[in-house]
Amino acid sequence: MPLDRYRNTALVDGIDVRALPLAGDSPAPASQGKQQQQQQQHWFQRRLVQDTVGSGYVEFGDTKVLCSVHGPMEPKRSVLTDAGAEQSRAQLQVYYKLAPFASHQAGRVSYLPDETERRAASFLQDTLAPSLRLDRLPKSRIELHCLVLEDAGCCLATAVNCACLALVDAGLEMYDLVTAATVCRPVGATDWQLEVGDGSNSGGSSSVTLAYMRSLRQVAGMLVEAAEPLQPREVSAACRICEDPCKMTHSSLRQFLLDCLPADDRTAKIA
Amino acid sequence: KKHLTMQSAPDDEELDSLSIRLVGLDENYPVRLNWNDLGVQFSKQSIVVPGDRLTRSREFIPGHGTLRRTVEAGSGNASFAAGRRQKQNDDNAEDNDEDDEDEDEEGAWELAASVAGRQHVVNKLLCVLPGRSRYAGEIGDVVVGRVQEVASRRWRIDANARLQATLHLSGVLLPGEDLRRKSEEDERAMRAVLAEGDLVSAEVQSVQADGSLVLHTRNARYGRLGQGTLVRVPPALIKRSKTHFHSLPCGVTLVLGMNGYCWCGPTPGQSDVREPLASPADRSEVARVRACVRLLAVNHVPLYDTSVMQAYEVARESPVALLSRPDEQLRVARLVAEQLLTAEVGEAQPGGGGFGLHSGDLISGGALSAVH
Repeated sequence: MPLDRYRNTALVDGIDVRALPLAGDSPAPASQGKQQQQQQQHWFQRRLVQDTVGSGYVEFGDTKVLCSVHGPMEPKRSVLTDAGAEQSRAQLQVYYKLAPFASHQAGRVSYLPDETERRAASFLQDTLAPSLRLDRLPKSRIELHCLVLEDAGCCLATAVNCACLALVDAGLEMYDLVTAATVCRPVGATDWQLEVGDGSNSGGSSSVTLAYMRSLRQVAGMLVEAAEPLQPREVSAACRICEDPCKMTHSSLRQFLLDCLPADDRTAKIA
Repeated sequence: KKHLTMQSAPDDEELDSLSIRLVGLDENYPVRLNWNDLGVQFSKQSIVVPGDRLTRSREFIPGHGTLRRTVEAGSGNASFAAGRRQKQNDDNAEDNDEDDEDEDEEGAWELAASVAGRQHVVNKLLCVLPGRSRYAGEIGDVVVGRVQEVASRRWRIDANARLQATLHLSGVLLPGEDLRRKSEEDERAMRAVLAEGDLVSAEVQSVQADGSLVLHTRNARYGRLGQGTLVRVPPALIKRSKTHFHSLPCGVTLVLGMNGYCWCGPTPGQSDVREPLASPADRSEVARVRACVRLLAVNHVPLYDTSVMQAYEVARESPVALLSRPDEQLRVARLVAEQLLTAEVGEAQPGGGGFGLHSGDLISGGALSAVH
């Protein structure tokens, strides 16, 4: 296992900040922080990270994800890549990481990506790569870094939304906005419920995450994590339920962009 | 003992637990110049987002930021979308008044936006210009770049573009030469001209098919840049002008590269082969100019010689260290912006209002028309 030499590993035995009581507060779990209505709303921000081409920040309930985009830039020259087909399109690389303090359930997360994070990165890559016009950028590389600051449920779908926002902010050409939603179902239950960002979902549920491109009416990606054997019709029922939240997220993301894009023309020169 | 420092949320009835606050989102913390306060309104017309339908009319030529897609009249992509096609059309695009066009034919296509930005129409060309994008480069642009690699008969230069730019050995003006072929000796002496890490000002000679730039310095103005500082700003802020080399009265030379790399340095004396080390007084002037360029860039004020000189005048008396504080940057940028706006109002264009989006190649100001 490669050592991460750049990190200070002295904090491995530190205490969890959530266990620290604030003056005047009872040690309440984080899920009581936001009201019920706010749990289902997205809050978007962009251009937060300096020195990146584009960045986005999305809060969904208590889940917070920050994405930054670097590139397009020179491709990595490797002996293994062949010069022909590889270089006719840009390469998209996704790095996905939970912050050490992010997880509500798992306690402190290691600095090195573990298997869930690698799987999430690969899902993001498979989902976002088809939505970008990579053939317009030959011989380039685009890097997308996702950092989950707090994971209170629905974290992968929020990461998809955030990554889409960062890519749009970077000015990369896309076919459509990609938005995602997650439904989950505890073991033994029959109904799929929309997963919200308040940490109320227990670890042992099956979940289906669907990423959808609304204007094209195409599915960009789907991830099924099954805690029990699932029938195909159950999975398709879950997808059907995911569609409406995806569309609503698309509308709110689109509205957010329409509201903040006019101010971009500050870069329009005077006279 | 607390290992992490976090800003705890302010007293707010909605957020009474620990929450992570990102610096800069607090309304009381002035970070950027707000142009709305200065009376500038940005119109919300014709702003599009990737995936929006622009037009179905065949008379438009697709430009940058648009793509053609076929209208899928009969095909359903996923089985669960079968029942929802009826409701799809009314939430799809901005202008719905194009539904009176002819019905979907077989093979009908439409133009859609692929970037987020403002759409422009010039005659029949329809394009979408994003607020900021990578510097692409045009023939004749003055750029500032840093040498990354010395390869065989060429230098590879980072010019803030997608790919590295190339400066050929035949594209530099060597001292004491007329038009002669470069010999073996010249090739070995390339590092004496430009080594890795050097800054160079050059002009774009051509743009290759894959988008990489070919530069040249065949003019006495261009060449290696000596002592000074590089400031990196968004390329869209650099206003295209007749000359990009400015000798400011305070003894500082400012080179505003169109790729967003700006260089400030002490104005070199006449025909000094080896420049002497700049004095501390010169260096603080360079630092002041650099701080002015930086604060204008952070507040999204366009960069050209007038705006930088006005910022310098305002900031002349402040200590240079003060100019890196955001509130001081905001104050200076605001003054400069106000002066620039009053200067422009004096020469307002007919049809008034708004700012012409100067893309440098397509539009030359004026009102933007919506697409129909």
